[in-house]
Amino acid sequence: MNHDESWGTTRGRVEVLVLEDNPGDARLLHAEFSGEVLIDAHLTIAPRLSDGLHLLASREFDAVLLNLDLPGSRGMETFERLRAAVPEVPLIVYTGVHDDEVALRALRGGAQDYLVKGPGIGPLLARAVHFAVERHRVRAELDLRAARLEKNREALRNIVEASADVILILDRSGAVRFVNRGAEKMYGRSAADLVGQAGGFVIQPGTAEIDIPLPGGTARTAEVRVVEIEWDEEPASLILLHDVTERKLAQQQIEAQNVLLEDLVRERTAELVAANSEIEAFADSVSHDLRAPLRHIKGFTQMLEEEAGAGLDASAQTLLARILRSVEQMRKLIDDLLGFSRLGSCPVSRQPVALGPLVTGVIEELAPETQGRPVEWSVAGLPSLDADPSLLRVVLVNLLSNALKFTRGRDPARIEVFPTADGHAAPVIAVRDNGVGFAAEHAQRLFGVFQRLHSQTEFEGTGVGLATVKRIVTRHGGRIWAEAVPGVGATFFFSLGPGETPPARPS
Amino acid sequence: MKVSTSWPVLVAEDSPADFLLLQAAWTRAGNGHTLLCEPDGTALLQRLRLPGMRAALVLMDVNMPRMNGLEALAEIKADPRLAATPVVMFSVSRNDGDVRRAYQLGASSYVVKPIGLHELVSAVTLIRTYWLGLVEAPE
Repeated sequence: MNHDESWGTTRGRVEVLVLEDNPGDARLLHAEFSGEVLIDAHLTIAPRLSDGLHLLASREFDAVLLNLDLPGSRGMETFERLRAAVPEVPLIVYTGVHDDEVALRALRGGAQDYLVKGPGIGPLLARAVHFAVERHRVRAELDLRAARLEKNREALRNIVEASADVILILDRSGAVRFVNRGAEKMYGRSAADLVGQAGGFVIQPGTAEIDIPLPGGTARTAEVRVVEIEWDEEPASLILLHDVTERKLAQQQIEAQNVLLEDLVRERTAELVAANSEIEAFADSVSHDLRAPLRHIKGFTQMLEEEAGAGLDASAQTLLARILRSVEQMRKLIDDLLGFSRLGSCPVSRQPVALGPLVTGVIEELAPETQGRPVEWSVAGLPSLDADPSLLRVVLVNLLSNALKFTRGRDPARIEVFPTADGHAAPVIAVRDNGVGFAAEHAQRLFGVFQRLHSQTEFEGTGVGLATVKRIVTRHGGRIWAEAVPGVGATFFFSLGPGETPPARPS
Repeated sequence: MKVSTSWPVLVAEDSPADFLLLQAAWTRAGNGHTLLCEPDGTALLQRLRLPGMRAALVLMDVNMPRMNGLEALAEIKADPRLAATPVVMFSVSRNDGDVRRAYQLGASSYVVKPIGLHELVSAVTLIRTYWLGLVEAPE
């Protein structure tokens, strides 16, 4: 028997087991099927049921063509034994005697067809086999697809169930149609309890967040998403609830902490302000109280000098002079300290200050200190600074008188004041001298209160000047630093931070 | 009329040392006018209100126990019999609040106590020249 796919719709040769004890009928069937164009069938003839069952156990067949009356088995018994042995294989019954009852039983029992032998049955049989095989094949494929779909459904259901979020499906009436495990956990109720419940999950359109009251007086807060879907072929709402209770709680805690921190900062600031003004008042009264005995020491020493001076020898007079010098030093120290302590709290009122004229004014003021020494001043190209004029003046008086002091003995002393740039936006002002300078390791100490690098006999001073300068610069949001080479000179640099109204800069 | 040298100058000063120095400066600065010292405002007012008392000038310290200088000043200016007496505040305090308050209350001058005998003599000389030499006093 030739196989040619173009002849039929079946995909290949169809193996057909024929249970037929009549050799003539078997031959006839052979003849019928070999001439059939619809199906390329290969017939295997088994004359007895036992032969057929044996063959079915050892080989695969696509269909069984079955004569009910065989030696050793008759009627429906043949059919049922066969059916039980191969429930998957399509059975087509054909028989010599038509019996409506048997036909009905066979068809109800799963037979694909029931045909009666007679003239012209050949093509009918071939067609019946063909259809049975096709039906069977299509059903097998459908079953496979259904199984695949069921698998996908299972996977999707697992995903839905595994979600920590709450997933609900409500139908149009608002009745719950589906809940996942997240929902069971959130509501503390079983799915069976929740499904079918109506009206408990009304969510207004546009809601982003809801509070879910729970039995026991507690509540959870959840973000809401509503998606319109179809469920069981009806429009429904898929509701996704993401529990944000903990997150909101944490957020509230952070906000509460922030409020607490702000309160604390306010409190501490108030305490600092109070402490500052207390310190200032203290410094004020201390300096007054310290001045009183100084006044007395100086006054009485001078009286002593006047009244007994002529009778005192030279060494006693030197001692009196020494007392007076010490008093003067103490007085200056107290004044400087008082000034320094007041700087901490005095208001800084900034305005544009032309630095050039200010420096010139300070130099004139310092003229008595030069005491006829040769001093070459160089002041050039100074900008305008946004600063408190009186405080900026204190800075310059200190820096310039320092420069004067530490160039004592230089011939000539050279002191330069000039703008420089260090890559920052704010102008940097430099004060350079050719004085005694200092070692680099002392650069940081310079600006501390009472920090002095020289003895009182070398260079007098209270050690408050540069601390004052630093405090003023700092209060302007600026910085100050110094460079020096011992024996060659020192340069002090300062820049002020931006004020509330920064000075206009050339474009 | 001119200020009589027989009128004393009343000093309110709680520090004996300060008064000693003031006295030393006072005698160095000229003759006449006895200095009388009281240690606080209350004592000063008592002395001013003694029958027959006519002070040429009051030199008033600001920081004093019990009644301080500003309080005493206010009381003097509130008393019609004393209000015409010139009061020169004589204080260690440069505190702007003190200075302003003193003038508001009717102080004639506000002088910061100088440090040093010579400086003190200079200050006292100026005060004497002006308040005891130059100006007219009511009859």
